[in-house]
Amino acid sequence: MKKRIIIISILLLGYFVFFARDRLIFAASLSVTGGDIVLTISTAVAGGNPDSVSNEVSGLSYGTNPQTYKITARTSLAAPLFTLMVLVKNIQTGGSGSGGTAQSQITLSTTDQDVVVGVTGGTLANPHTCTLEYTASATAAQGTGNDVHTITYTIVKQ
Amino acid sequence: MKRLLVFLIAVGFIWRISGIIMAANNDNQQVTIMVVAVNELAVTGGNITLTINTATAGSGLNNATDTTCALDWTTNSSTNKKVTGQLDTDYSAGISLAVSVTVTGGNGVSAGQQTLISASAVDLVTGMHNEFVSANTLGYTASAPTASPATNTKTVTYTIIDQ
Repeated sequence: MKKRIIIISILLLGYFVFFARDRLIFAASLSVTGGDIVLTISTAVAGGNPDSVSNEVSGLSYGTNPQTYKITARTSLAAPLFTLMVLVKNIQTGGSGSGGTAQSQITLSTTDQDVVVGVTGGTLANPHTCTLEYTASATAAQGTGNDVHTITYTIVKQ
Repeated sequence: MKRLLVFLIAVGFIWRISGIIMAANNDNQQVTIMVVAVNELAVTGGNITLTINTATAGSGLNNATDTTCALDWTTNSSTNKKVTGQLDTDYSAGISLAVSVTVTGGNGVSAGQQTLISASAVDLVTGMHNEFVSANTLGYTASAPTASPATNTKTVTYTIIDQ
């Protein structure tokens, strides 16, 4: 009897550790991959505004419970000198459900804006992923300087 | 044994719940935009030839002119820039080349017609800042009132620099 209890206990623990935790997400989760980035505008074609600069080295990793979620983005910088836009690309559905639908490129502001809608499923072990394409632009009239944005991505019920 | 069973189940729940707790619904990323000094200038229209081959009887040879070339520039500087022009080497004695820039927009002011020399750069446009302007016509005038027939090929270098 004692042996049975031990075996059942070990099996239950194994389930939680190796199956349940990896297969289920009871709350939506999201993380940014790729770290912080710097976009440097340093060139122009004579007679035109400075060239815009893009970067696609970062992304999102996310998952939800069976309900439908969306991902929003906002910046902490209330009065930027220059323009920063983001576009979600290359959505890869992880495991089950849907990684959602990317929205059009947005200019980041301090208001939450949808970047992905219709997200369902995904697990901690096999999350949905996507690429973040940032584009920075500046005009000659705006001059030189630095904008430091803290971009917050949030996954919320749709 | 029952205690062990309860303990292990509790550990399992805590482990799973920890996954939920660690799975935040938002995350941050720092994105820095750096805009550094951009000062670009380009000549359009290619190389040109000014041919002096007429004269009014009783006077020196007539000047030759050309307005087929132009300057484009961009600067995001908030302090004034200027455009200068300079010859690589001087023309033969009796031959000279002057140029003027017709400014089509922005903040720049043309210095009018200036004779180009090799010894130093001459100011052609001043007061440019935070602007991009294209098709600023270069008006060349070659003069050689008494020069003998010859061909002189020179290179003019235009530069955008601090004023």
